[in-house]
Amino acid sequence: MLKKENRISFEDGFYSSANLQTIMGETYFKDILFLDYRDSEAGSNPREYTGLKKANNEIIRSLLKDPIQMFRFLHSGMIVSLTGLRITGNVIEFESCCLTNGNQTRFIILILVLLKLYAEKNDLTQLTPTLFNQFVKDEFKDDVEVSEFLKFVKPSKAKEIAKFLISNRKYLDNFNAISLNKFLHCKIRIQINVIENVIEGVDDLDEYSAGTLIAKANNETQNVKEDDIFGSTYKMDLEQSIFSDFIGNYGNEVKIEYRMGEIVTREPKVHILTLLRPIISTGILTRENEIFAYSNQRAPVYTLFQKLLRTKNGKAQSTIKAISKLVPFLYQIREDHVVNRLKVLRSAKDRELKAKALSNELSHTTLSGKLKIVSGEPTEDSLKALRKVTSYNIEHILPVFIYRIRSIIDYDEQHQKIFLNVETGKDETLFQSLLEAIYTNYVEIKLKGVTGSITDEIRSKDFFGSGEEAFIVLKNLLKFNQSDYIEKNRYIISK
Amino acid sequence: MIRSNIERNHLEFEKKIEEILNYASNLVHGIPLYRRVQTSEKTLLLESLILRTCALGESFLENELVICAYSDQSKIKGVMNILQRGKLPKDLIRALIFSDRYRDLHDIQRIKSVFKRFTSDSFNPTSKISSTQTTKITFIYSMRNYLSHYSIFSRRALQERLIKNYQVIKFIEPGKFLLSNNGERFNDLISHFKFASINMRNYWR
Repeated sequence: MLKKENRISFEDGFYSSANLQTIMGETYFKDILFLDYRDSEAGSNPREYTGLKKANNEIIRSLLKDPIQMFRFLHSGMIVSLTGLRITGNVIEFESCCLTNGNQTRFIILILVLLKLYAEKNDLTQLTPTLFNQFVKDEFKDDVEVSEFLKFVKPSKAKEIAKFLISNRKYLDNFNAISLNKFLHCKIRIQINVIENVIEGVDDLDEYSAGTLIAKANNETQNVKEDDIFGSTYKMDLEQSIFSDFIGNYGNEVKIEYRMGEIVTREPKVHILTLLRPIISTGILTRENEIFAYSNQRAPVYTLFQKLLRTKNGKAQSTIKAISKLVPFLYQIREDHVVNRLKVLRSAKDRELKAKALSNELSHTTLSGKLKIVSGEPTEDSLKALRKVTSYNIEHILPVFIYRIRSIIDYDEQHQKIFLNVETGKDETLFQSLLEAIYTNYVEIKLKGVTGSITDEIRSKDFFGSGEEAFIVLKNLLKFNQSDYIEKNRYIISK
Repeated sequence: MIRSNIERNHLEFEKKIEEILNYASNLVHGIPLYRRVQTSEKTLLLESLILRTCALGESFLENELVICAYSDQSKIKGVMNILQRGKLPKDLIRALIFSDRYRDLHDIQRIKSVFKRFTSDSFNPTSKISSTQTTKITFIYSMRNYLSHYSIFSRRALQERLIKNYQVIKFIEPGKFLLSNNGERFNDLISHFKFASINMRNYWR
């Protein structure tokens, strides 16, 4: 019954502009269910389905109130960018599509359709994400295209809508009253941007960029994360330049997520911000004091890389090449040496603080008054307070760690590889000592208490001084050679 | 002098436990990188660490018991019917407690009763061991017994504890159990030896 067909039909005909750049009309729900919205030739929409938040809650209410007659007049409709159009009568077929506006509505309609199918044989009140997942797998096992698309429908979001229905009797009655076939034939307004015709005569704008530009503009007033806009807009540029070595090194082992949540499978993935942030800490793009200010930031980091990508001069290009080599190297440092070591350090710190709590040795800290020992054991609330102090955000610690070791990051011309100028074996001592110094300072700051937020504190020069003494001692003890690799490749991007 | 002996006994024990915990934590998380081991080896090592921890715990408690009985000898002299007025040497105290028969210091309830028998009320820190610590250490000993004997009896005893303490119905080998949740169970269990020692140490403050 449900198929992904790359066609939109208009029962009552459609309006088309003379230059065939715009087409408008009313189409069936069944035709919008599987419209692509990401990473197609026709562009990429930066916004994923966000669940029943305020606006979406209004959409589902107006949809279920009267899907047949009124909904299409209460909704602004959908906008799609299409390429490769073939028009036959009242039917438009296309090669690629990017749903640039109305993606939230589409997902709500799609989930309702799936729930109607589910409810035909199952009890909706008993729906769990696992059951939904299994249902989708079984129902569409023979349709690869639909199955692939339905990976974007998170079971938790389906459960959310089922829960909404169950707790709103009026809407549940309407949902039950309408047949699936009738629901699929409800109509919605749709506006089509025919991308090939839109970009005709416009320099430097290909189909993908035009579609993405439209999607970005359509979502400008929405609460779209900077991550998603930057990731969608610069995906191709990033792949070809800044992430080219990472992709070369990791291939399909670790996939890059350009938009939060876009990779729904369990395969290893890394978000663009995780790869870009450590670069800032090396100081290759900024002045010294800006390194601190950029720590754990999002928007300014994207702005910085956006400016770099737009700069076409030779020096900037050579810096981009150096950054491309740094990206996999710093990612490897993070994964192999920082992530687990911090877990071990935290575990030890948990024990240390609990031991101090048992001996009443934390009375001079922010924990004073929050700890209560009953019959030789800290209460559950006390343990929570302790864990809050030892908890950490790796994005707070890693920048300082990279900042500290940046002077020994070097490049081996012969093997064309970045390396750390420390003898193998001794690097473990370096990682352990530095991370311990930085993490200990981090916990100390929390124990002392901060006037503002911890985020302000981790952007301070003082915090970036963590581990400095340890580094000097280690430098003399382990005899590392300083390197000028970062210095040589520095390209300062002005604010 | 007595206080410093007691303090030293505790600190040495806590340090050794902390070393075990750190070693295990690094092992579980694959640190250092060049010493990464397979899961099967990790389970073997964690099981061995249980045996080592229990041995350290027994040695620590034995010392504690001797120091306490030595510090106030009225109770032990009464129990042993010793009429000598002067202070008995520490080695003799140790001999009096342990040489007539084997006294295992495995079970916390049993440890408490041994302390009660040989030490005066003002020199008995075992009252400070919390009920959570008692439960966790008792569980560790059921694991230790199984690992030492692999007998049907010890297996059944461990199985009962697994059900009672962790609602684990199907029997699971200790190493696998300890490694689960990134070694968090090992960390939680063994750290209670350290916390029990800290509570006992605080008795003297």
